[in-house]
Amino acid sequence: MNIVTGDQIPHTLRCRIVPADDKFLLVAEPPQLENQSLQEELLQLNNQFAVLSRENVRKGRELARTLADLKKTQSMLVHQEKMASLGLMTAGIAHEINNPLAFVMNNEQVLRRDFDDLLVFITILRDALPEIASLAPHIHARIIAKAQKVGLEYLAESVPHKLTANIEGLERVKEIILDLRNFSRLDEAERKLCSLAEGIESTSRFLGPLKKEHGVTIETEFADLPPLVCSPGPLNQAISNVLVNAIQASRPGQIVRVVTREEGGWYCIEVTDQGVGIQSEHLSKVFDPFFTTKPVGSGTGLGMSIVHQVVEAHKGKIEIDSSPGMGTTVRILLPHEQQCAKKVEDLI
Amino acid sequence: MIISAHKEGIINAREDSASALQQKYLREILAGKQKPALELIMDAYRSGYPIPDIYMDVFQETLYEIGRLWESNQITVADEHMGTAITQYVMSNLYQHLEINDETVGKAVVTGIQGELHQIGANMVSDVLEADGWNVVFLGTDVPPEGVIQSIRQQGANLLCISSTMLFNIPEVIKLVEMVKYEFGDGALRVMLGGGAFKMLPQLPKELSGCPVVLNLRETLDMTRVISKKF
Repeated sequence: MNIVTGDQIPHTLRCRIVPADDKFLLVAEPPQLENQSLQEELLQLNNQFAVLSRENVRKGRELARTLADLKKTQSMLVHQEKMASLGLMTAGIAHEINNPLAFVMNNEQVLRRDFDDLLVFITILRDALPEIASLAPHIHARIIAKAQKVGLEYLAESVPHKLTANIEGLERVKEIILDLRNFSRLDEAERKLCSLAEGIESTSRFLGPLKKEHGVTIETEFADLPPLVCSPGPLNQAISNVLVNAIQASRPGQIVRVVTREEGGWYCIEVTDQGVGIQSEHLSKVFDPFFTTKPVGSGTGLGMSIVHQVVEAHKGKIEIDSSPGMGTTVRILLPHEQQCAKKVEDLI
Repeated sequence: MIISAHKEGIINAREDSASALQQKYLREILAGKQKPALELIMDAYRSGYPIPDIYMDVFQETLYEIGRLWESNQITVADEHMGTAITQYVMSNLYQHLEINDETVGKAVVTGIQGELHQIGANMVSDVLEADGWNVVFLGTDVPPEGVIQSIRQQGANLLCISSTMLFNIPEVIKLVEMVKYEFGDGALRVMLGGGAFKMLPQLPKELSGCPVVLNLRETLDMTRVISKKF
């Protein structure tokens, strides 16, 4: 029989019904005190075990989280170190190449100009040939013989072409050097209060010829966001790099969508294309300097490295979702609550 | 209204299956079959039964049923203790599978009253709150008030849940609440009360006024969701 005593403690009593005269007597005895205290002790141990087991699982989870954070931090540090060393190296290389490049380019321009002058002189000389022939036939003969020997007609046509090609090649080297310099000096840029939407719009305008070439349309959807403290030049360059990739990955008639919104204390710039997508084995390499899947000569492989560098300098994050054949979404997340608020105060 | 009828059908089917699961679970634990009881619950979890629903539909209902069986003299105190111990064992296994969000709605400390032997209700509250997005530290029932205060301070908790099953522990609850109010004031820390003792109280003692009282897991979730919105 179960009872609750006056102090609200439940007990189970062992009962017997005993005949007594013409009545029945209910005889109840409590369980042995020793049993009762053992039961309570067991209950307490079970309770302690439940608390410890729960805490054990929590500690395990905490450990797993810490380990994951540690791995992330470690890989971030390795990456930063790699980027820092690479930054120093590229800055050095860019500087060393830039100086000879400048005079070679200058000389090429001078050569082109001088050769054009020479051609003008030769044309004058050619126009005067009949007169020379009548006045000094032996000089005329020497001029004609030499002109035939050096292939003057061929030279007059091919040398300007070669000089033009040289200048184009040097312009390309100059662009690569500029990329390398930008890559190594992005964190030195000045910070200002800027509108994200305006930056994206102007970047998109610059890409007009590329959009036309690929037959791609850019659609934008901008949330009404307050201005952001950022380095506008590098940030626009990062957005431009992402947009160029999106356009180049798209097929004619496809749309690249650019959306801005606020996401829990972050400004989010999201660029989505419907293009070829990124192979899963390439995803982990997209931020590696000099990694490119574009044909040789079409890209330096620094575009997404620069994006990474710029976003990191803004204390932001980049996320990429991509499926081969289905397109790619690149999300650039820039913080605006703490560090940016402080920067605004500094600016004011 | 075919759609309503369809929805109702789904809800009824769910209630039937919950009730069947709860009855099976009750039979296993009253027979002292710990492993089959665990397997039964793990199968339900693996087939998609959400953990908080298992707590509400199966554990809570089973423990209420055990109380009713004891009141009607069908089981003994020892049976009750065995049922509780097996459920604690099953819960500790199930807890490992609880999905925890990285972002939490708040930090809670859940405790029983020192000397109170009934701990499973507070344990269930802890797990269900954790599944609902709270970062919960469960102290059990054997922590003195000073320890509770230290834990609140260490965790930076904004919610304290105090559980008491036995009516005679209410003075201890009052003592703890008064100490907590003295230490932390009336502002940042909310104190929520729950457990069987509060079911028996005709009215809340004036020392506990202002503390919300919850009597089951559903009420706990409803109340904590209201509280978390104010943080």
